[in-house]
Amino acid sequence: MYDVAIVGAGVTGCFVAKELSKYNLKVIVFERKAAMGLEQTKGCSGVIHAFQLPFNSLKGKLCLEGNAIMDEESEELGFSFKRVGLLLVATNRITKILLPVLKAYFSRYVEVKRIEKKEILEMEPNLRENVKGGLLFPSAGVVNPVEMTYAAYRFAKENGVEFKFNSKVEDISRKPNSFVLKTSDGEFEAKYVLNCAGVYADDVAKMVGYELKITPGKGSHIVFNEKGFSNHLIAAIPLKPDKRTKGGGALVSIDGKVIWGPNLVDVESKEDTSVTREEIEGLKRKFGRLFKKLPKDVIAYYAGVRSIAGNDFVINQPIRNFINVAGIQSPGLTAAPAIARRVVRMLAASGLELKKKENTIKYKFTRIRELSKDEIEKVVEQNPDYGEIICLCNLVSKAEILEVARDFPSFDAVKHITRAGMDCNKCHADIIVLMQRECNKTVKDCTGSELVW
Amino acid sequence: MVAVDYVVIGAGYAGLKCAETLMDKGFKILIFDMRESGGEISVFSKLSDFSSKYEKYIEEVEELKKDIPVDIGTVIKSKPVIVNSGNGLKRFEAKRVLLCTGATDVAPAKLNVLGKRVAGIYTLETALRLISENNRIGNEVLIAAKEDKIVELAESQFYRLGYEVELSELYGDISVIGKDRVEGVKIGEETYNCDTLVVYGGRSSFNPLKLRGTPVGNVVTCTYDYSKVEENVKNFLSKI
Ligand SMILES: Cc1cc2nc3c(=O)[nH]c(=O)nc-3n(C[C@H](O)[C@H](O)[C@H](O)COP(=O)(O)OP(=O)(O)OC[C@H]3O[C@@H](n4cnc5c(N)ncnc54)[C@H](O)[C@@H]3O)c2cc1C
Repeated sequence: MYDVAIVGAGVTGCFVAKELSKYNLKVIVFERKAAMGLEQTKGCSGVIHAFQLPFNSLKGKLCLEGNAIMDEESEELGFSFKRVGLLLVATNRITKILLPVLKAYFSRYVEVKRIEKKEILEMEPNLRENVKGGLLFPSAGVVNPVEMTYAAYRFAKENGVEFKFNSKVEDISRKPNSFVLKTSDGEFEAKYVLNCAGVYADDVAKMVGYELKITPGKGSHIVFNEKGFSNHLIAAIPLKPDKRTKGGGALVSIDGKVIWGPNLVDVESKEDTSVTREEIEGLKRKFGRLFKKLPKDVIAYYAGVRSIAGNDFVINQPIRNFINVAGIQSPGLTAAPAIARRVVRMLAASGLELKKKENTIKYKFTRIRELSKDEIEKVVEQNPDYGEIICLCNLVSKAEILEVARDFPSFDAVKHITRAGMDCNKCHADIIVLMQRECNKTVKDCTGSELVW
Repeated sequence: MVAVDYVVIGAGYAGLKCAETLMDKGFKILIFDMRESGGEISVFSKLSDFSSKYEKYIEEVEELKKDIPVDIGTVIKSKPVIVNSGNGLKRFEAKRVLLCTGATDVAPAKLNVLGKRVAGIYTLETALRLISENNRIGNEVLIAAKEDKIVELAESQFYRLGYEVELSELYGDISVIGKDRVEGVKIGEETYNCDTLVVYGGRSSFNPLKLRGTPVGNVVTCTYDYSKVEENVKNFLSKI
């Protein structure tokens, strides 16, 4: 009998698992895909938002809290996090006039600075001269979402949480004091169930008779490999804010690539991560207006599907000991650490006994590109595979790739966790050949998506 | 610290050729490769159709491999030369650095490959590498490519290995259809039934760390046509 069963290993499920692994509990996580974070989390923009409107909503509060504790989390779990800052620019007279009002409003909740045109153009020389001034939110930052999720997964795993991948929860039946989860790996019994199933949280809620409606909302992005083209998260202050989306931005990734997006397109299928010509042109028009020229070197288009259940997150306990952590749309990545703490408090309030472990194990994934020369010498001496570089663009060693591949026979997991093959295709065959040798089988992200037959 | 006249980065056709000539002229050289000696030509030697077309270069590379001691290691800095390998980091001083790091295929996104990023989409380079290692990449392959001799060669190679192959030119958007794996591809008004998409729209130089040095060979010409690479190497060596 498990104390807690978590359905879904996206950023939400993994952060809850991480938080629970600090206590003496038996916890199990089920994920239908080949690895963690390969659904909504992989498709997101990677921004640690400075704020989310409205401030008094649940998502607004959890966003602020998540942002505030992100340095601590990145330190504890060992993932990269950079506060690059959000630059909201006024591009017309009306929004320029609004700047003092907006500043006064935002400064009640977050750190914000007014900056003048000259300063903006110094910070971002590629912006067009028509910017009239703006607001800088220094607390906004970026992460690699799958890397962040992996770090939480790894912490949880090192501290005793069990993970089942390629394992879909198909049904849940209620017993007087527990639940039985029917999965593709057999049946498991747990006292508490957490529904962290992303776009499929409605299906999981239905298993215990709770109606929840999730509407999929797709967001697409363009990735350019021109590092340094812009350095902040940049967006124009809209004349009329859209209620459903923050409107995306001219963003940067953790390694300085340029990402434009996301948009918001209603889609029928929760699996629809296709990117269309129309969307690409739309993004180019929208963000191209801000700059003197287009960034060079398009390297990818990608999309993610938001799990939208109305305007806010749905974190509730519709029946005893079953908690929905659902409708975790944007800014769910930012909020994840705060959501996790909140869920732990809810579990405690419903009678789960929480006894902190005396020691927890911290795990730091070794990345050659982050090491000093002396440190490289040391790790290579222990394991020569660190001396063999597979991805030159991002300096990823064979040892890093094998460490992930031994856990997951998934190309996408290896790529997103290590960043190997993110910038060009040169090393893709090397990665696949290596994985094939190590795992015998390589899938892209889930069973049925074989890369090599 | 070891000091040499030349450090050659990359031991493919161009790197090996340069190393040979420089050694013959009595220069002190070091040549590094992050994989194995032979580079792309070694890949072609494992594919029957390619090995007859590239016979001349394969033979030459085989000979050069015997004579030229290549160190396996990744050059991560060129001034001074810093190499990461199974033996840790090593530093070398070189009077001149030659970049023979070759070319890589242009990314699918740049060729307007749109739709869902499902399994079964490869650049030509990746596809060739995989089949050269005896991996099967699907059954029905669509090669969407710009006109180039390499494309016909790839077509006959896939065909010989038992794939069904179709060819299309690159024009407009290439929309991938499929849920987890390629199930079809739409180019213009035409829809192709296939489970694998291989795209080729040219190559660009491969030097992501922006190492400094003199570029020679495929890093300059960026092609599958090795007569061009050969010409470039000859030109360079004639000036030494
Ligand atoms: C386009 C886009 C851009 C975004 N940008 C940002 C951003 O910049 N900043 C930010 O803070 N937030 C952003 N978000 C929001 C953020 O991505 C999400 O809030 C977050 O990823 C939600 O994580 P999750 O774990 O709840 O969902 P998911 O990552 O979708 O995880 C749910 C998991 O549950 C699994 N699952 C489902 N059903 C079952 C079952 N029956 N059995 C087993 N497993 C199951 C799924 O396979 C999946 O892995 C963005 C979202 C999108 C779509």
